[in-house]
Amino acid sequence: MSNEIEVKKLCELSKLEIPDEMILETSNKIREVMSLFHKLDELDISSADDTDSYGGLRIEKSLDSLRGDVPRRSFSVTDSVAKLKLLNTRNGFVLGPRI
Amino acid sequence: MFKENLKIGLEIHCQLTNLNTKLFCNCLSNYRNSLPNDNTCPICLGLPGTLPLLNKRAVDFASMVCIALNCKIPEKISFYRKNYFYPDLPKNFQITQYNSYEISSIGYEGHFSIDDDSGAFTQMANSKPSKSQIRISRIQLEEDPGKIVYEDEKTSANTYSLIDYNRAGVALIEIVTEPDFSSSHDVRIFLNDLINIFEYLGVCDPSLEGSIRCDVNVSLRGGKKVEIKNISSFKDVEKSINYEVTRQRTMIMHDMEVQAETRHWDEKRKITISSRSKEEEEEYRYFPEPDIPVILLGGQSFVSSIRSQMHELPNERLQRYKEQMGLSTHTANILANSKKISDYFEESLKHYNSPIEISNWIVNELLSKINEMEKSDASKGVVIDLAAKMSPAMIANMAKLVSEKGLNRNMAREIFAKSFQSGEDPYYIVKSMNVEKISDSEEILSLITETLEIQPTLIDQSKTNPNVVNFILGLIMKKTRGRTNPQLAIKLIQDVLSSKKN
Amino acid sequence: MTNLLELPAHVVIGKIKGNDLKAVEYVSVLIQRIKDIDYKINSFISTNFENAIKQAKIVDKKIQSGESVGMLAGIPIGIKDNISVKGLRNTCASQMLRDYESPYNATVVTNIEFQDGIVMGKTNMDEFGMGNTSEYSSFGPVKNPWNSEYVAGGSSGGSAAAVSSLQVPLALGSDTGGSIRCPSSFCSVVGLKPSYGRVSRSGLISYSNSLEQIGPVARNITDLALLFNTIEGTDAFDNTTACSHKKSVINSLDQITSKGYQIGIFSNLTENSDIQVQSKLMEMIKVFERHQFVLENIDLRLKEFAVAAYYIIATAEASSNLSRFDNVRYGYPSNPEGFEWNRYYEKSRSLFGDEVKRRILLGSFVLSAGYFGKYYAKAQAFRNMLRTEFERLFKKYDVLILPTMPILPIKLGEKISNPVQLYNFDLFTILANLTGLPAITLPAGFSDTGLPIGIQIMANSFEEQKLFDLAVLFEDESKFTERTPTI
Repeated sequence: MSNEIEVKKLCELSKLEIPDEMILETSNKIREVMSLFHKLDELDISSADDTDSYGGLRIEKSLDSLRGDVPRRSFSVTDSVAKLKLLNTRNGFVLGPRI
Repeated sequence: MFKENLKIGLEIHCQLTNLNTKLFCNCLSNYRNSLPNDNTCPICLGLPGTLPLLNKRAVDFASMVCIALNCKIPEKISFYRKNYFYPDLPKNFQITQYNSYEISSIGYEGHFSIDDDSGAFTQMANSKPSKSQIRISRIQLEEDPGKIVYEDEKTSANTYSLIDYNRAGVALIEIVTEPDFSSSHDVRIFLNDLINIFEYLGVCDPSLEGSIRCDVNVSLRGGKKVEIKNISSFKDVEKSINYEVTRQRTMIMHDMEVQAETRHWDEKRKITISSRSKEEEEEYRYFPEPDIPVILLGGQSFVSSIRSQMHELPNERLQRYKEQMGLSTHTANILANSKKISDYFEESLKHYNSPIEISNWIVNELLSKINEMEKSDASKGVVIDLAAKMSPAMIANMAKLVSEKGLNRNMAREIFAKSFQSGEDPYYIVKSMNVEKISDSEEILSLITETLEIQPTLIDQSKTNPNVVNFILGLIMKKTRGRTNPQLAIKLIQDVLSSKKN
Repeated sequence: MTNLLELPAHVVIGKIKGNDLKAVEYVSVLIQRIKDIDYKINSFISTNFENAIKQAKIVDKKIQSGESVGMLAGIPIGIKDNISVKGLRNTCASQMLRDYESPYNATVVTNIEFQDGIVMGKTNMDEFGMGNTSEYSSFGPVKNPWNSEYVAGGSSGGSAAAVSSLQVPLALGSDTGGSIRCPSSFCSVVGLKPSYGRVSRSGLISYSNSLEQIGPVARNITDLALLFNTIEGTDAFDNTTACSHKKSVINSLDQITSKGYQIGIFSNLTENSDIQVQSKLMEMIKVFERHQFVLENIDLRLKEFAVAAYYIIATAEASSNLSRFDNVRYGYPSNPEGFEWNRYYEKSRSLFGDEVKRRILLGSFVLSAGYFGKYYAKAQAFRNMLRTEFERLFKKYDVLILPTMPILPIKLGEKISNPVQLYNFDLFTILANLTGLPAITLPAGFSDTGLPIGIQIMANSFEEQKLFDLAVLFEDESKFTERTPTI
């Protein structure tokens, strides 16, 4: 399952670059972990209470517990955006790569 | 025309512009007046360690739209992460809702009827006016990404991008329909209805640029589905569908297979263009957002409490206008199809409760005057505010003058025009023109006698020609510049003539 | 001098409040300690000395002028470097964030400052919390204060080592799968993983959101309670925090004994531990027996699936959480101009360490189309089953005892190339994270080679008080606070 090609596809999906000389080692290690994951194949989940809930132990809260729609500068960032120390900016815009 | 089996589905993104704050932080929902990146905070910039804080009112607003589109609202809602990288996406995932594993979205399985009436010409064969039912598969709450700005208009000419995150995190609802539209015309009607609903509910101002965006999917003759993305104006939605239908039709004619693909709408050239890599887009690796709890809405009591906060909907108003006020379908439609106009109408009724008279003045006189103005060169492109041109109280007075003071139509139109021009209340115009009706029987009788003395032959003619009554009325009207109360005059003329017959 | 270093924080606070000791004096002594020894341990990534002195002077001034001071008055605290402190670098021990300075405070830091606690510096860790040895730090491994050839445990190795080596009396760590308890156990300090939702995560750089909590590390149970009471509680900045619960208290021995706790011992887990770990656990049991508590051996069902489920969820959430590090808005100096964006992302993200990259790839895999049900959904279903299993046990028992780690601290570099083996060492600690339950690790003694051993106690959600009660009893008998390492 996790042959080299698959690792390359995962890299693309995760925007990670693994150097060619590392691909084999990476896929071997990933394969080892995958075999650990396969233990779950033996688990019978038919007795699970809440199989339709995919969030695990999801916390439930009432709608009323949510914040009101009141404008406010969040956290202690009070004055200017300069405080956020954005990495590369030009005329207030964030400088990003070519699209 | 042979059956093409055209199927169109829509995905409409609508910003909840009437919220004060973004979906997950306290930054302003109105990002449109801010300097670049000034309307941001650690949360909407996705700074490490920040957590989304869901806006309760966004849930309320979205629920209203769900109710208006007859969607089911689940007991609980949850959020999912849609994982993909893009420089306008601060966290490189979007918090949205997703129904593949459970019902997570605020609304599902809705439906909405659109009127095919005005489109009857497209279906000559069965010209019976009909309603089409459009199924709504879901309505979900999600966050808007930021905006990428290009210095050079030609995207590929730029060696870098400029990103403004002011919009990032603004609350959106995405409305997804089933492929139930069979013509671009139906799509237009639906979108107009939808805009109207947004305005009625006060959740979104459709006039704001970029507040509503639409993706379309089109398939022909049971063929593959083609998605058109990036249509930012509703006018272009119809155009893009027509373009796509023609394109697919041509392909089929030439025995070429239509590919399932995503195409982008080129606003400038008005064509759809194939966009790359479909397979990558599909791999969104959705999973439940662990930082937002499952929200318990409260079932039926929640729905009724939202319902009670909701403004009357367009179709409800239409019903009321027709059934309770007795307006014609045509008039009722014109009023209800615009919240502004129907609110104006409602306001006028508070001054003088005569729906038929007032609605006629609005629809036949006021709106056509406004229309003329909007088309004139002087105010091209300017949207004229009804109430600023003529207050609801003034139009109510207009109606009152006609139905209570017996002002005749021609005179009333003249007064209306003056009032529209000058902004003066019709009531005072009438006063100053001394055009109040002559409703005194003695005075009218003497006018009749005077007339018959000048043209005595009329008495004889009246015995054979019933139109003589109206002719005499005309003469009296002319003499009094239309000020004579016509109902009273006709009765008196008939009395006088019948007394002479013997 | 040495005496001052060894004093428990609650005693120091008493002295400072009573004007017997100046906060600035105490802070200065600790700063000197860090300067003197931390090069041997590597527990701090960055320090905040200048500011700490300033803060200490403010505390002193308040006391001079008779103003009231908070419950952590003048106490320097180490903060794990994945918890945001305004104006300080926040690296997560990663080159990706080596220059990132947080513009805001984590809620726990705001709370500490509100109680007049002082941020002393940011502590070393496994990169983004991914590890249990603190060797996967791009700022070098943390060394065990008891023997510098051994690992300090991870991922909050810097916090545990700094507290253990008397550089700070208190520290914050974060615990995703044992990251507070493992290093606390390896360094012979007390560490608490609170119930899920008890402490705000706002400002904690997420590794696996649904598993992790911030928690305190201390040398004694009273100090631990002070820091825990400071940081816990509902927070408007974290929608996953629970409603308020009673503050924890240090009860008297008599009060505790009279509660007659029912204790379960996970014998089927203990069996699989190092023999020396087992014998320390037996010693702890004897202490509780002397207090007439009921102790019974029990088996935990389903244990064989825990490690798989844990790593599936942790890697899945991590792969998404770490997506935001693309070096566009923040990160390390670099110029994106001229790069095609996909290329830029691949290039900028190459600064993640190998273990982090592997976990991102694994996470992307388990979430990808067609595998969601097989891995992620099943792992989540398992969490519910495991939680049900624990609820069954808590019907009968107040607390459950098991080793913190199945092994003694390992040598630096010994296992670094064998991730799966390292993952399996987490079995005892991840149980609390998978279920959201609170768990504490207590220093239980030393191996024959002088390496620390910790024993873990678990309780039902929001019943941290029971953990404190048992810890008080055990601390009183075992005197685990009295030994300190020689550096």
